Amino acid sequence: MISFFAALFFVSCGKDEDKQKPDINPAEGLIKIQEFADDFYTVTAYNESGKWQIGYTKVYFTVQDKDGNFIDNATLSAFPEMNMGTMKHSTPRSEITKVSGKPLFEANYAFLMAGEWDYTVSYYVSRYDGGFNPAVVIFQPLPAAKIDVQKAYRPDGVTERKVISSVKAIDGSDKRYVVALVEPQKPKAGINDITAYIYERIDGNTYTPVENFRLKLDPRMPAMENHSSPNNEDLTWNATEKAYKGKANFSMTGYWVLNLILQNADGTVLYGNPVTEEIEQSSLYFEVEF
Amino acid sequence: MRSIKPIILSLFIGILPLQAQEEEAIALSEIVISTKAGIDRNQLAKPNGTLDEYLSEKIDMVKRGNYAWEPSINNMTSERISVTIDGMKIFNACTDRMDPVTSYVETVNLSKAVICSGFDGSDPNASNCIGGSLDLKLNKAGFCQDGFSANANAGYENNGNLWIYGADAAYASPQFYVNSGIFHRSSGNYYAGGGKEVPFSQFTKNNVFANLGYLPKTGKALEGSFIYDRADNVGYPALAMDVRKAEGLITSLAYTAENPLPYFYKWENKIYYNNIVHIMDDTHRPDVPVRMDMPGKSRTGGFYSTLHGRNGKHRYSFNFDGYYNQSYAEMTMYPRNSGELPMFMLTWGDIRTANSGLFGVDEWRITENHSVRLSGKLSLQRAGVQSRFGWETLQGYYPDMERFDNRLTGNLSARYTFRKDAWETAAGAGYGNRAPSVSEAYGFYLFNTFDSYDYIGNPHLKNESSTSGDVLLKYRKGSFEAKAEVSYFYFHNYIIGKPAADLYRMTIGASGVKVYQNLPNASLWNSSVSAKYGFLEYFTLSGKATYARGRDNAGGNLPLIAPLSYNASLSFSRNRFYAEAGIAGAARQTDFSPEYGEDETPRYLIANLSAGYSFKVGKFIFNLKSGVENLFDKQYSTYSDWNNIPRKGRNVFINLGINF
Repeated sequence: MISFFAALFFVSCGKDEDKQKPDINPAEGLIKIQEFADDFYTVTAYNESGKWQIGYTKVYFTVQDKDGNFIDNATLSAFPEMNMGTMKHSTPRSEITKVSGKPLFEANYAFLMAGEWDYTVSYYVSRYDGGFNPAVVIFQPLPAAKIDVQKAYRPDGVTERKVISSVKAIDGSDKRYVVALVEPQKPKAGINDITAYIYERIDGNTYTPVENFRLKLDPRMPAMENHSSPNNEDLTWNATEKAYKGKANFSMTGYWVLNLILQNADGTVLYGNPVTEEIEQSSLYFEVEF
Repeated sequence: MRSIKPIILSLFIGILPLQAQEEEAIALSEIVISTKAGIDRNQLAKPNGTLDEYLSEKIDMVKRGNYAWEPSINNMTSERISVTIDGMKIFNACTDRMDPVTSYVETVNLSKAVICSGFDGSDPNASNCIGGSLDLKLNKAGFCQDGFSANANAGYENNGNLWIYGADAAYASPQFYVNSGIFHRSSGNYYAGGGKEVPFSQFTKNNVFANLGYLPKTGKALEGSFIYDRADNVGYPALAMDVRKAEGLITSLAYTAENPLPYFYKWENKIYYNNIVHIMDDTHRPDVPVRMDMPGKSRTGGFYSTLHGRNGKHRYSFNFDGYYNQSYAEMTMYPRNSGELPMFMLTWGDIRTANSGLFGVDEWRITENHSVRLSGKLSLQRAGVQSRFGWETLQGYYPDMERFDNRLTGNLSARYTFRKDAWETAAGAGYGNRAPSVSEAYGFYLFNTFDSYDYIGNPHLKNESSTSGDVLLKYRKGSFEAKAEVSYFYFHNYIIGKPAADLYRMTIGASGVKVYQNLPNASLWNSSVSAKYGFLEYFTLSGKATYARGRDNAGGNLPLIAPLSYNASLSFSRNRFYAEAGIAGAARQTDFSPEYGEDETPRYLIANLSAGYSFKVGKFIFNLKSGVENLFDKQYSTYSDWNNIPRKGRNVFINLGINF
């Protein structure tokens, strides 16, 4: 009743659209993963699988007040941390940004490992009169929570699937990189767009996307004597999408290994090796099965 | 290769009176509906030895196993020749070419085969053919006074323990006819010369057919035909797979009218539908790298309408035909790691072909000695990939391919014949082209055991064209007859698979991948001489030799070209007794093509003996036949045998037929 009047009030005021009716969920069609709440707001994470998962995953968030209204005018941040006892580290991730046009937020994660991560979400909800000063935004952390990042399995449900790789460069620089497979999420027979992210690990909590590298691609089918296919394209930097894009031609359904060689902008090999008769797989690879 | 199996030995082509040039004359002569075209009981009674008379020098059979043999005309097979059943288009459903359409009919279904060479213009329904055409005529009882008749047949061959049973019955009257029958063949593994068993050469085959005719009024006829043919457990010695089921359903409905228009004496119309299902798997094979299933299907519906006419010295026909074919084949491979998902692909991605053409032929008998025949056909074809899955996988190889394309094909030919006294001479010339076949344009990783390559189709192929000429010289006097014939084909954009070194084979153990390409040119030369001489009243001596040579644009040999082959026989025929002794052989294949996967085939020579006797008991006529093939149990294979799988060793056969 109160929310009804509140909604009526805001509608009658005409300008403010920071709250929406509770029955229109902007994350409609996605599956809820987890809720994080304090006494005022609830932040809910969604994605397509309903699970935190190893490797690349795109996660959406909604912010609701205690009446269930979806808050548009919020700012979110989150910090995942893996506590390994002797050391702690985070994982490659993007900032949480607003999806324009609806009270929905999005972020990319590239979880380096499965297991229980500490996960702290902070929020700031601006006053609906627009009167706050961004310079002094103080995020309110929600109570510390745990998230359970699932392993990626092949369709047999038993064997783990390689979707992310953390490597130490072999060019002598000792730099560390993380390569995460983004697409294809729904592979098909024929030519598939293939997308990956490459991050340089600055420290355990800082991973910066690198530009203008190259991932040489060689898809193979181990069950068929490691045969390959024509018209594959290496993954190169796409400045518009801020990701590495290439093409993989799957001549049939089944289990494919995407063998990769990571090169920097000069063409120096940073990791991975060519597939030969003797060496059937690169040390840097992803797996796709459909 | 001429040692085609004797009549009763279940190779249907054997019992057909194959008469190339003679048949053309009949095809254009005064056939009216009331003329009985029906069952020729005598053909079954004909002794084995007359087979060579029936077989035109133009037809050859390429062997893929014990079971299905593929016809070859002028050293060209399915892509370059047209094979129709009573004018009906029918296409195989096996991507590995293990089921030539001739495997879906049986001897009992057919009365004769009409063979045309090159573009010689006598088969109005042939499409996309360059090498020639084969039209198998159904065995109809016909509108005649024969009344009721029946026939039963049983045969046995010791090599492979092959059994044949068949029975059919007919009722014919001037207004109505029906004939129907069943036929069964089954064989175990056969044994090559020397006694070595050829594993996976077994088969079982059953066939049911019915023909029906009704004459609602004089000069108007309605006819229907139906064939259901099913083979089970067919072994393919040359492959790592067998056929679980090969099924053909062939149906048609025809309306024929006499004298429909001035200057036209006959109008034939037919609609037809056939459905071929071919299911291959390897469940009976003990050890294979990857288990796989390969089902395929081919469905064709079509029509034709032909007007036959005559005016003065001209005899002419016009034909309008059309068909629509769906060819679909898939392959599922099961990885050794059973946790992995099966690998699936469409080897024919639901390929649709619509084709329609107009044909005309005129035979002008200028004088008693001179005649000229002109013919032409123009066809429009639209073909492409209906399945999105199939299209997308092909796009992985041809990113800019169109999903469907249109092609115009056709041919023109002229033939001049001169007959005087004992001499006959003829010369013909033609030009024509063909669209690529389903496999050539859209096939996806089709494994060919012959050269051990995976083949990928090429949607960008140009039409293949051929300019051809042939000369015939024949002399006949008394009981002596001699004939010499040569033909030459010069191809542009000859379609053939060429190795693509940058592509990975799919089939484990394959030598690589070939992609169909257009060779700028190629040529093919065929020649034959034959002679026959009757003497001492009851004896006939006959012999024949053929030689062919095919070359690609670089002067290299084309594959699957027969080496010098020959046969000879001496026969004795008196009253109801017949006996024959014959030899057949081929010289060493010197002009083989390593590039296309051929190795040298050694020469061979085999001997055959046969005898037949026909007798009557009351109303029943008995035909008894027996003989020995490959008398000396030679181990041999021919140039066309896949993987050099040896042919049958010594084989004793016996057959008994009863007619009344």
